[in-house]
Amino acid sequence: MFGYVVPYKPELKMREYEYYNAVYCGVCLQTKKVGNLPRVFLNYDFVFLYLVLKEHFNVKDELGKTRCFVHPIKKRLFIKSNEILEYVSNQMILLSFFKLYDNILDEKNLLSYVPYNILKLYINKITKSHRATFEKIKELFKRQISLEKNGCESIDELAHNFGNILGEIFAYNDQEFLRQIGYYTGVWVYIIDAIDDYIDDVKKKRYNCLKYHFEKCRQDKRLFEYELSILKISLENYLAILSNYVKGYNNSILNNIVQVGMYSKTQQVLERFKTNFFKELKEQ
Amino acid sequence: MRDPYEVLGVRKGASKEEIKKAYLELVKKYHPDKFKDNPLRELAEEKLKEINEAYNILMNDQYSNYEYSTYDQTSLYQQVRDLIMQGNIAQAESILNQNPRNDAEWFYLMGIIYQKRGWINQAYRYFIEAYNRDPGNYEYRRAKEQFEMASRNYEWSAYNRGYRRHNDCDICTICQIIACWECCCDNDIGC
Repeated sequence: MFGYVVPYKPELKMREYEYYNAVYCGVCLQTKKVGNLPRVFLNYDFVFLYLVLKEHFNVKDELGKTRCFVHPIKKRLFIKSNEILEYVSNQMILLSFFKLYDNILDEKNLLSYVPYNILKLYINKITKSHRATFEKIKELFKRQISLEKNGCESIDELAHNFGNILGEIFAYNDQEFLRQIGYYTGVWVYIIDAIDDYIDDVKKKRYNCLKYHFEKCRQDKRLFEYELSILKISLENYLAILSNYVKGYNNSILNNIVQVGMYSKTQQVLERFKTNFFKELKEQ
Repeated sequence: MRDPYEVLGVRKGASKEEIKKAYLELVKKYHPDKFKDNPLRELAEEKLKEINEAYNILMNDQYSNYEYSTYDQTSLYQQVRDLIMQGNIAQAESILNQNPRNDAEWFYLMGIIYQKRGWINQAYRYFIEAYNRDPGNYEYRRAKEQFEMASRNYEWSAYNRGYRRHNDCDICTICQIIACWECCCDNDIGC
């Protein structure tokens, strides 16, 4: 579902790239303190969350060097634990918990049962301090699932709900500004993810929120182009709003992620969708 | 312009006979002959003009036959606009949903509501619809173009920072290029 919020690497400076990886390692090592299992779900989106929070609360982080079992040979830089890192890691565990929950309900994936039950133990441990947020996210997640189950036709309604989930996750200390950043990130991620999965979902007869708009384009190339251009423009509008929010932080890695990384990801996903749509769905 | 029924002082949906009667009475009352050498003359003339317009509109079949006349619509849309201005989006939306119409303004206002909510995709679709129904309207065109401008500006800033399309050169692409190269060397070029 995730892994779209990444920087555009060729545009990063060497030190930025190292710092970025150090945050990634930091989140991973922080999560290890709770348990090894959630580390599997680690992805780059949470580095974005850390960077945003760090800039927002003006936190000075310290770097350390260590070896770990994924990289046994060379010592890697990592961010030493701080309050924000802890928050980010907890949110990661929370989200992976909900993802498994979704998998179980959605795809009847029996493989997910075991990790789900293990994660459930961690959840009680980490949500002690912010129970209210947890309940809120849980409500939103249930709503998301029921919307998908009922075959909701509005992309925006689903994306809006998902945006609210990420908004809740980003809103550390209930900061409205952070919630907005989370919201627009979430909306963008949801739509991009739906586009990316569309062909696969159709083949496997799974639900996809774009179905309503693209089902009727199978025969009509021009209609397809039209629908795609609407999607493209709305995605870029979301990103433009997001980049306006993030600009205030004046952080070059964040600017890279929002202005170049997410932009190139959008183009890449749309391009792939465009080339594969008629090719792969012909026999369906 | 005011509601023509109000101008003529008749109830909504009044029959043509009633309208005609009311009109003749009003014309008699405000006739310019009565206001000779009177300071109120200009006012009366204006009034008469308004009465004539209202009468013409109501006598036109198009208006008297419909349950909702355009005057209902303008006041409805005005109400919706006021609600949007006050920030009462939910109320504005429910009013629009209760009165589904096929005209450009309905789609435009719906678009505004969705835009305020942050549902950009849907808002953009509504603005396109409004624009298609009435391409001459400046308001609708601007709403639609604003979206396109925002995305163009964003694209430009992304481009300006050095991003070029299709230059994602990762290990995979390099391997592919090398593999292709090898193939060529073996078969044709022979280097």
